[in-house]
Amino acid sequence: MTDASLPLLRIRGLAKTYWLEQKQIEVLRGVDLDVMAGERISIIGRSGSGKSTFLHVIGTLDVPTQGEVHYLGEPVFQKSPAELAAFRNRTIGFVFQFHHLLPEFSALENVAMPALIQRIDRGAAEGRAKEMLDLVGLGHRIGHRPGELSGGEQQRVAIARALVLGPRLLLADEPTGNLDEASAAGIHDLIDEMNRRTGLTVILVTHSSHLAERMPRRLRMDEGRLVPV
Amino acid sequence: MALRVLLLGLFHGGLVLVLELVAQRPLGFVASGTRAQATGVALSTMFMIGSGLLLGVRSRANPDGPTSSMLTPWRPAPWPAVWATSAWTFVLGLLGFFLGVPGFIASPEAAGPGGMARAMLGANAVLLPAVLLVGLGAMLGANCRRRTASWVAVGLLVFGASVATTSWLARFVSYEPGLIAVATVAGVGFSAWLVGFVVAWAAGRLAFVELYLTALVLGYALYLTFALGPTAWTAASNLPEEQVLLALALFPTVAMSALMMVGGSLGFLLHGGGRFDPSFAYEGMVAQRYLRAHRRDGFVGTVTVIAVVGICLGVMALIVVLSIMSGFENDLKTKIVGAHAHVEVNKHGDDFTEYADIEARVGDIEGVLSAGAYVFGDAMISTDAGLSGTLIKGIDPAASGPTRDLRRIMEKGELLNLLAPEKIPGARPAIDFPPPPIKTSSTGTAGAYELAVPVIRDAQPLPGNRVLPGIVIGRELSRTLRAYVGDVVKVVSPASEEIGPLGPTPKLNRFRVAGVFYSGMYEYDAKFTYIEMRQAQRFFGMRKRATGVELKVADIDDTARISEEVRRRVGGEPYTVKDWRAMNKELFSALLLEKIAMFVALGMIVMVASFLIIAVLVMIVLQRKKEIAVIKSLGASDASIMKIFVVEGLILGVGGAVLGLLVGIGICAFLENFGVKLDERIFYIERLPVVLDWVEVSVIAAAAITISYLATIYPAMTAAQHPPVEGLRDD
Ligand SMILES: Nc1ncnc2c1ncn2[C@@H]1O[C@H](COP(=O)(O)OP(=O)(O)OP(=O)(O)O)[C@@H](O)[C@H]1O
Ligand SMILES: [Mg+2]
Repeated sequence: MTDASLPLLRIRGLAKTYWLEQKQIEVLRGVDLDVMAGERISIIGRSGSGKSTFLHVIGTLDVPTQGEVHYLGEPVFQKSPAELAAFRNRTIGFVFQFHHLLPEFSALENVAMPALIQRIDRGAAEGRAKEMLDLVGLGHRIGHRPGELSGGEQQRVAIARALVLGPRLLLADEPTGNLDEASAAGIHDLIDEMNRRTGLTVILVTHSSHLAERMPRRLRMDEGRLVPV
Repeated sequence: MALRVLLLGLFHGGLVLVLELVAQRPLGFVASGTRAQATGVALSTMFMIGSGLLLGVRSRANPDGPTSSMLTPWRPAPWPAVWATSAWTFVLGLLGFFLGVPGFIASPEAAGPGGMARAMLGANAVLLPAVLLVGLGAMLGANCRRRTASWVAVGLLVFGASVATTSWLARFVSYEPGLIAVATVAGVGFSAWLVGFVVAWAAGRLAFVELYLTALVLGYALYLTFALGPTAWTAASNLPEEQVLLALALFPTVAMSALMMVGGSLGFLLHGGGRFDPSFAYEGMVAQRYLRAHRRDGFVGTVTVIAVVGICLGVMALIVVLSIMSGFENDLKTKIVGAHAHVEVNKHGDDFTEYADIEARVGDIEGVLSAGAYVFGDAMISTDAGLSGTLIKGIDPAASGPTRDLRRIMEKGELLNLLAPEKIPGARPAIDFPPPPIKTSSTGTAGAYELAVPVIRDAQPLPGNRVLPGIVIGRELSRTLRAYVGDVVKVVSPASEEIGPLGPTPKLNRFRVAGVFYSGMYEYDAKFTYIEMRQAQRFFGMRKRATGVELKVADIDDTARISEEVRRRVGGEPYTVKDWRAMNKELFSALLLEKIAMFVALGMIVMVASFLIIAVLVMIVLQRKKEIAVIKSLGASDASIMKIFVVEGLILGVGGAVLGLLVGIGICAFLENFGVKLDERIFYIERLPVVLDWVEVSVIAAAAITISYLATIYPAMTAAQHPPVEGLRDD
């Protein structure tokens, strides 16, 4: 259906500059990157080097100051706000650095939320959410609110939420930051498994070079540019 | 920089003046006075908004760049330039006002105190409103996009088409011009709503700039049409011209933009996500969850409760007060239709001799109970005790149909005695016995019983021993004149045939009170008197003629149709046909106006409460920035986020309104069943009347819900336009 040679993401000259009281902070200074479908990429870099900013921009949560991101050849920032919302809902799964679960909702409801937003009816959405929670090993905690879960458990709920609709692209910002070695490895096994099964494309930011090693393609954020490690 | 702003201001301020100069020349035909002033002020405000618009449009950098829709939904107006512009408008206006700009004034008349040019310059010479107008224009201009003008054109087209359709349909609504007018206004309102809905739906955004511009264009067009058009248009209402023009300046634009906003936001809610999506499923869930969470939060929770209670109180007060007003109105209506004709046929000129023919022609119309001719005139009525004006109606007491209601309200005496005045008590000297004395104490001693002495009443000698004709009067008149059944009253008619040595002399007739009626309507009981038809014809010098033919109908709400049929049968001119509503037009329109005023006054309570809803929602939105961003990152569209907060506000608004409805209806039911006694001498009615009109109740509920809906738009919009990335960075 899609041209195999067409990259899933083609990022060209991506730049992001913040202005703080007349002072410019150039976070991204022209990132070029092609991501093929099914690729697994890790990004490492110093704190404050702009890894999260990069993920936000390619996840269309933020707009670049310059440059463009093409998804299967289509420039994403030319889309209307409504199209962007649908794009985020259907194509991208996001795991935030600080998991960002909705505190008033149970784990099950949190995971079902993307499906509910897509107007999948409540029963079916919660069914999928339950499956996903089983997969991350939290099948027995579905009724708990985020406040009643440990940091690692919250992060696993966040991963379940990102993957519940079966996205093409997973953008994960230190998904295992709060986890011990074994659990972190478990999460990575899960991501690898999803990658094998569904061809999920993964871009993963991590501080642990050990975990970064597991990814076939490794990049480093340096001076606002992505360089291979 | 400062110089540039100053020059920008000079240019745009000068533009206002130049436009005024150009505009008032072709408008020289408008004579100075109210219209000229109104037109002048309207045009100058229009030009100020226009130059602000230009200023705003020029200030935009990149109207359709990728950032415009996501990160900066509202661009600020270029305020320094706005101030400079209005300052220049002020200075130039002031100069013109006092010095007179050479060539500015088209005619000496326009420069005069009531002239258009003077009004324009005067409007310019007021600083602060100019800033508001120029600022409004600049704000709109700054937020224009490349396609804004096309959407405004679409809006105008939709409006035109919709108004044409609805006013064509309005003609089928009813025979009554009043109802046609209401239907037309409703059609215009609906059209405004539709414009909002269509434009927002098609553009896929809230499109408030486009809608507001459309409302402004329409408002000014309407206003200038009325201000410059034939005087007859403004004279059609009973209000003074300047009030009509003032109302037209404010009301239509405000109402239309509010309706467009309602329509626009609905269009966006349903179609803003890029496809038709009427579901509120998860949004409702999120809204409920947030409301519940915030109830426990002290401050927001308290304000929430106050908002709901406020809406509830407003709705309750509206229902109770309007129901009582309807009660009084209904009471009045029953009394009016009980006492007077339901439909009346009159004739121009004073030669209505063919009344019997007319009676026959209209008597068998379906729904007509009876048709009877009558004579009507005014006179003075007096006794030794008092004097009063009266409206005398000559009727045929034997006709059972037309006199049905009168017979029903006869309190003392006998209506038919008008035909046989000799039967009236006292017509012949009579002997009355006083009532037997009452025993005042149980230890009754001598003197407790008095001798019963026959008293001869009516010792007044009658000239020639003639029997006086009878008259029926109302209870109040009977009290003022101290005239009871059998007493003699003098009636003086100003219109008379008798010519004395000094020209026409007033004619004096004596009548004997044949009966007293009590309708419960003060005016009627104090003013109306009835005599026999031929007596009246003689008394008013209208031999063989009638004033009109009155009809009583079975269903008084069907008089519009019956009037139409009557009109057809009598054949129009010189006959005129009026129903009871038209005959009492002033009274009922005064009542309606009173009701509207009450509605607006009490509606303020709901208004204030809705501001609390705004406050609650704004607080919740501010506290929920992070969650909004998260939900957006999961793929919720702006429209979907907006739905969450609209639902949240509507839960409060609808909750309050439903509570208010229940309490209000409960109070009305209580008043109806257990009643509140009123002092009959003051209110002329024994109990507080309550009529719960379901149309009114629905209007109140709809208004309360619409107001709370409008209150949600601003906070929900800010939530929707919240950039998805904000709040995601911190834990
Ligand atoms: N809204 C903003 N305004 C100004 N500066 C910002 C903003 N957002 C991010 N920055 C700055 O951009 C830089 C990159 O931030 P970012 O969060 O992308 O770093 P990071 O590589 O993810 O760091 P970490 O590993 O600690 O998560 C930081 O210096 C940060 O201060
Ligand atoms: Mg980061």
